[in-house]
Amino acid sequence: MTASIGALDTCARLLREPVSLGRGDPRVSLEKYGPLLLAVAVVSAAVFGGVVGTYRGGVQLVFAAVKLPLLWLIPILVTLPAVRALHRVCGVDVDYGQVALAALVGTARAALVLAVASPALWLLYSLHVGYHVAVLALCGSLVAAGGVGLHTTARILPGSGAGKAVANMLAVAAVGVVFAQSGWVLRPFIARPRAEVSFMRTVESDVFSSVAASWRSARGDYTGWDARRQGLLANPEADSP
Amino acid sequence: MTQTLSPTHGGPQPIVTVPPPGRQTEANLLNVPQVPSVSSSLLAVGGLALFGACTALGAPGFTAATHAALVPVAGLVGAMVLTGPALVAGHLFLRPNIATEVPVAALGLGLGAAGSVAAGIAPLALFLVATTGLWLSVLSLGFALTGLACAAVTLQALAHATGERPGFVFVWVFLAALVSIRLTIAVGSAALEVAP
Repeated sequence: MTASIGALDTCARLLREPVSLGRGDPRVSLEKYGPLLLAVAVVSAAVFGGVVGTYRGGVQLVFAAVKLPLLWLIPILVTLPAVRALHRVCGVDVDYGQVALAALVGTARAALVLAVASPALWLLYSLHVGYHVAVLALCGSLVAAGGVGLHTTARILPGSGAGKAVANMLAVAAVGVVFAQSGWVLRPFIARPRAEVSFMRTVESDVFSSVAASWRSARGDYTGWDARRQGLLANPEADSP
Repeated sequence: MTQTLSPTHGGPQPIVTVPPPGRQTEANLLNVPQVPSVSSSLLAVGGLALFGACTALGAPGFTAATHAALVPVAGLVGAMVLTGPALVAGHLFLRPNIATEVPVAALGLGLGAAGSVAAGIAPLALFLVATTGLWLSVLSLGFALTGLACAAVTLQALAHATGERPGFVFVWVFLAALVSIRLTIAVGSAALEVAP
């Protein structure tokens, strides 16, 4: 009972006054709220993932619910050192505890906002919209929630002035790139109606070339897209006949 | 105002230097930033090497990977070694009221900042190299970012310590950037030749 009250109280503070969770000694706050914030982020993202999976249904519902939390947590893990280094170079003295707490609060808040807004997405998907509309709706939701999370993180991190603004811009760029590429690597979240369902596709090309190809297609240039297997995790032999 | 440069107990008479009028030696000596230690400088070089190694994992072939791994260290540390004396000499020549330690310390702080940023973006670079074929872009962008961090912190430290406008230091930054690019091309040419 106490734990559930603590969770509800934390969720209320996440939505109402997230900055209050970052006050005081960051290590103490991280110790006190860290596991709960992580749980809120994972459960909320899993709920949203389950809703995204309803577009295809079946086992894709479980796959999406498992992968969505990873989509939120991988960027934190990968960019945490970069965010700290960029802030310090810009004159904002932060340690790992502060950055980790701020990122965790931002992620938990973004995931929570997505989870509570997921019925709207479910309603849209239940109307049997087209595949591209479904993907666009998912991307829009993620970008909007990501913006909320990054704004919250920036508010919690100490510092002010031009140095913090530059550090925040660089951090947003770094997190954005990793978030986009993580989404690309972990796809599909929404399986095409007639495609074979798979947990993950092979590592091939990157999100930036995909976006460029989509942009060309949108302008009427259907020159195709050579999605080659690239990167350390790719298996280049799979391309050979 | 006088300064004693040797102990006052017994022995030879202390050397007394009297600065020429109009020079603000005392004020500027008070602002001398702490010269970074050798270990912190080595850590910075280690951060640059780590970033280079992470991006080099995506390079095709051993030769290309070796050259790519060396790019951050050779490009940045090489440029600082080659152009650092010019910054120190420039200060001695154009700003004789500034302590010699000031440009040295500023260079050390700049190197530390570059190493810190390089070590920070190394996991990000590893992630992108592992999941994309963009190792060359990651190396270029990351190297540019570390170079910018180095230049910004060096300029900031100098401005804070001297209380003067950067002036000729901008010329030095331009020179150092050109030397860095030349070194980078020289070291990375093998990697660029093999790269698709």
